[in-house]
Amino acid sequence: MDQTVSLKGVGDGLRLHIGVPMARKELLAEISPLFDRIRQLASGARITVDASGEDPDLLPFLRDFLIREYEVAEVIPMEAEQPRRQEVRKRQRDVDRSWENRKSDVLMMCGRVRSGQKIQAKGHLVLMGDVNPGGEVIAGGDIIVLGSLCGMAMAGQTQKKDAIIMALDFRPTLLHIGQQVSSGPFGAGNRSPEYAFLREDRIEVADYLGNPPFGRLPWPEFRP
Amino acid sequence: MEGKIIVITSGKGGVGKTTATAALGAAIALEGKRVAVVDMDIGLRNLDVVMGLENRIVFNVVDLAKGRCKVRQASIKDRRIENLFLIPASQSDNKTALSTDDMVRLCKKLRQEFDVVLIDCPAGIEQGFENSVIGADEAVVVCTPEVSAVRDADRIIGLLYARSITPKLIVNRIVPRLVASGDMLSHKDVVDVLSIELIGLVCMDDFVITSTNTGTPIVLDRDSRAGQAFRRIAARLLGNTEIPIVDPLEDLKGFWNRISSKIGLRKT
Repeated sequence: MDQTVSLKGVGDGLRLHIGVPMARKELLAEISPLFDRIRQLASGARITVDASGEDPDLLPFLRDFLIREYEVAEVIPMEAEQPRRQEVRKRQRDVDRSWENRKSDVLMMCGRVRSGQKIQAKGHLVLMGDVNPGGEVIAGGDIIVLGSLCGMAMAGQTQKKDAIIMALDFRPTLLHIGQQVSSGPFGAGNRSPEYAFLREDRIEVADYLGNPPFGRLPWPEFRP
Repeated sequence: MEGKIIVITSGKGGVGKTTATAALGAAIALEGKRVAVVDMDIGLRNLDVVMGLENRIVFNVVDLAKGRCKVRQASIKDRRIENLFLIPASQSDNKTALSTDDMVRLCKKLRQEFDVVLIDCPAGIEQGFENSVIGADEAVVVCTPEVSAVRDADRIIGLLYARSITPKLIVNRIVPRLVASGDMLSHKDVVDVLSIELIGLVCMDDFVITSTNTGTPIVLDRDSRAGQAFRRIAARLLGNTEIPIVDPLEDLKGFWNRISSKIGLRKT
């Protein structure tokens, strides 16, 4: 069979491909058998026309014909579809990157880490509770203490330089981030949420509220 | 009915475990219970001195645990207080003289003879501590308002929880004047960090020094604030939870208010 004209199901409609420019009559002769075969399907469908050659009248002609004969919903040119498909593709890329398809290795704990006790997490560590003086919290990623941090905290072990250590009441005795160590003094000591981070291989402490570390990200991002 | 065994511990040395044990033992005995206080500080015996019974020791806790004597032979009756007995430590052995199995057996024996057994735990977290807590039903942690004592108490609390014992807290040697001026941790700071049930606050008291030197029970002294505090703690240990915990700072405020109103600085 001559493949100059073909009809293909695409997405939520049909695509009509016209390989070579041809006269109206011949074209109708080619198209009609195709649509006759799928009259049921064509009814109410969206037809995308992918035609070669530059014939500005072709589309209105086909639209009239197809809507009249086969009651299709609409007939649109290929170009009109292009941006929509691009848009879809872009979103798909976002979806690949988005948090919905990512799993994070977070150890979530509650309670009090007392002197002599140690909590070790491979990934991030979230502790709902306090770390007493002499207690130790260690994580491969970030450390978030929803309480007082009065003991020792080691984040980003062993090489993660962008790890942070955050606590609602930030009074640690010793901090490690990546390979850097700092023994303070830390922060304002006014029992406010603060966090420590690395800037040029030095540990710095800043207020968490008012100047959050990720406040300038355009949209929520996955934290690896 | 079987008696209960309460271990008195702290982690750090010199915070008042022995004094607290002697005082609580006397106070509980005054409530009418048959009490034994056991000195587990083997090799560094001093509960006998604090209780003024040092010249009556024949057998000690090691002899008792090894089955070389009977409970009745090893327990020394107090001179003043009925129902109070001391089982002294050995001065010539060391902490490894007893094993945890020995202690479990000993605690079983003591439960049958006494209503309450108070164990004076040595400082540290080694064998002596293990032996002291192995048979205990309850624990009282003594802590002073010092950063070092708080940290050690915290460690001990963690170890007690690991043995399924929920400890109670005594904050000892509070100096209200220093707390008020901000030079000493307040009991609230201590309780915040340790976060266990507070069972009593004891002020620094000169009577404690004289009474430990002379070997007289401090709880018999009506003027001693520490002695009265220990009596209240004893009552709470026996289950009387209605006695309120007196904040020593309130007393101080009251005192200054009285003085200043008397000399006309403050209107009543």
